[in-house]
Amino acid sequence: MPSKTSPGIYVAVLILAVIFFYPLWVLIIIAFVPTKYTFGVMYPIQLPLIITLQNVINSFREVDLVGPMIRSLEVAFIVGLLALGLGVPAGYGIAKLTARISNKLIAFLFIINMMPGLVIAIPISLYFYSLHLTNTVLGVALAQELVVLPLTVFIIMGGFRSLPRDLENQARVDGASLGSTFVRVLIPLIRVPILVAFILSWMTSWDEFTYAFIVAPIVPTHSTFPVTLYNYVSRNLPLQSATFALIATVPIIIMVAVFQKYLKGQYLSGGLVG
Amino acid sequence: MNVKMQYVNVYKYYRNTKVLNKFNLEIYDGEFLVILGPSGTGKTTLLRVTAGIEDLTAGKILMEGRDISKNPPNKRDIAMVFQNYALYPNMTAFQNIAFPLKMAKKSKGEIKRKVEEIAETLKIAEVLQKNVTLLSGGQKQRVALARALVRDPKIFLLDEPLSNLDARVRVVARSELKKIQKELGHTFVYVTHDQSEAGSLADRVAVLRNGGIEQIGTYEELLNEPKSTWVGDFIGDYPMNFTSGEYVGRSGTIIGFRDSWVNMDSDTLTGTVQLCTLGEDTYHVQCRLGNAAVAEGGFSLDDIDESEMTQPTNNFVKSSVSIRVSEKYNIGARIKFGLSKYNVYDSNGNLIETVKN
Repeated sequence: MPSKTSPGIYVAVLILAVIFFYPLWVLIIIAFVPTKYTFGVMYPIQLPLIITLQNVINSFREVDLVGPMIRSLEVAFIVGLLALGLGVPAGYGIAKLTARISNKLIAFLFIINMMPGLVIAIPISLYFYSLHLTNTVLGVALAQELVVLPLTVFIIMGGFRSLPRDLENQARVDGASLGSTFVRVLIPLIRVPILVAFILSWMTSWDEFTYAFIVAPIVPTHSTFPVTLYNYVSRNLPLQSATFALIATVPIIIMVAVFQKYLKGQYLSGGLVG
Repeated sequence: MNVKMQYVNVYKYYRNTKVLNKFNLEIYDGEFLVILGPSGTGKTTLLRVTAGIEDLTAGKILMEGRDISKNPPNKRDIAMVFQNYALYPNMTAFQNIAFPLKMAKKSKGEIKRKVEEIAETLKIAEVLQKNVTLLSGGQKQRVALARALVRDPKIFLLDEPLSNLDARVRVVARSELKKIQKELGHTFVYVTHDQSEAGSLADRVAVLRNGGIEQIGTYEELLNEPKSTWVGDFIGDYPMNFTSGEYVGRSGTIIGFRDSWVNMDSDTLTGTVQLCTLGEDTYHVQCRLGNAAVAEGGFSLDDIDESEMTQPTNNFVKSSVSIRVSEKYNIGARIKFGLSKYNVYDSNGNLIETVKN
């Protein structure tokens, strides 16, 4: 369908892009421009006319950035994989129920997301304390799982529901056991919803703060990167914070760039383009 | 003939709806059985219950004498073609057809040989490497059929497999299907609502109504001697004519005859022409008849005023009948004809006897 886009749209998009991109731009300036042009002057330079890697090198030398980064990556992958491990069977089961029941179940699942994070995080941290899960990557991941699991189940359920019911029946009639029906027919067909669910879980867990802050508090050797970052900001180390924040954005940008074609509305609602 | 499969008092309820209600049927080895019925009579449910996709509420299904009604679908050795083909969209045509063989753990060489063989028979050899979503409707239907035929199961279930094809392709596919079935000696249970399909394919036709079999027999038997006015109305290109009357003193009797059973040499019946249209090579005449009064040796009736007609005693009795004649009549003309044969039904619509003149 050929349609004419008015120039006003481009102007609007440009303005929005500037608004959203400016904070990132400030990070880039702080991280790569010598400090005498940024922190040393009243009106910091807005264009990276002089570029240096010294800030980044100094930041890495002064504080441990790698440890929190690795812990955050571990959390993100554990959350993402666990969400699929639990969400795929749950989504399959709920998709088989009639819509009347399954919709109620889904709403019930999202109750956790409706509560303020702190309300849930505090009792959880007490419980985790007795399970020796505080200050561990697994502890942070398990707490964060609460947030991503309802959405994962919802997306996976949508994926299963969009498949013709007879495909599964056909596989069974063709002699496939329940297991091989799942592995050979159903999972390949909902690979996009699975991928979307994983990316969303991964991205929300990567920079999750509330649960990480309460379950793994400010112990530099155990905290994840958002907590460490908070630590630097609160200790007034803007240079390290900026460098760290910039580096933290990189995995997200890579993820979104690679998978952006899947991150569309119809996939989030669980639809499947046949 | 050997009994291949047998339904013994099968019930299937969905909540309060009785879809199959004390269903009994024997299917013979090597026969082409067509299940015919209006929509919502449990045709598809019957196949799904047979394949094990849905559980029975009560009763037994015997396959070669052994009860299979508790077996999961993959342990029943039944092939099924679904109405929407249910092809695996993530696979090529070859992988689709090979899937049941792979599940049966056949060797790679054997799978390749068998798939290519069936693809040759069904003329889809050139599209084997294509993804099934790229195939045309006719090719999809063949792939679905091939996926069933590549196996050697005890019985084949086909749920309106030709309904998505256009008319011309359907006729060709129909004759190929029949040929394959006869050549390989397979037992087919074929669900359709298309009567011409039933007529051309079936060894026997089972007419379903209210979750049970209303009548089973060859298509000709169903056409000529419907056991009830309901079957007479349902079977045939045009419904059977029913006119109420008396039969040897029994009031409330119904006379049934097909539009082609007209004998113009006789003049026992008189009617007023209401409509005359040209069919393929005959004229279809709609005319109004009075009440039939059957005496010994046949029945006759004149056209009479509507006010004199007795109230119809059966839903299928209409105030006018349609017949097929070779010449054109004007509207309002009087037409005289006789019947070469007719069926007599009681007031409940059950066949009493067939009379040939």
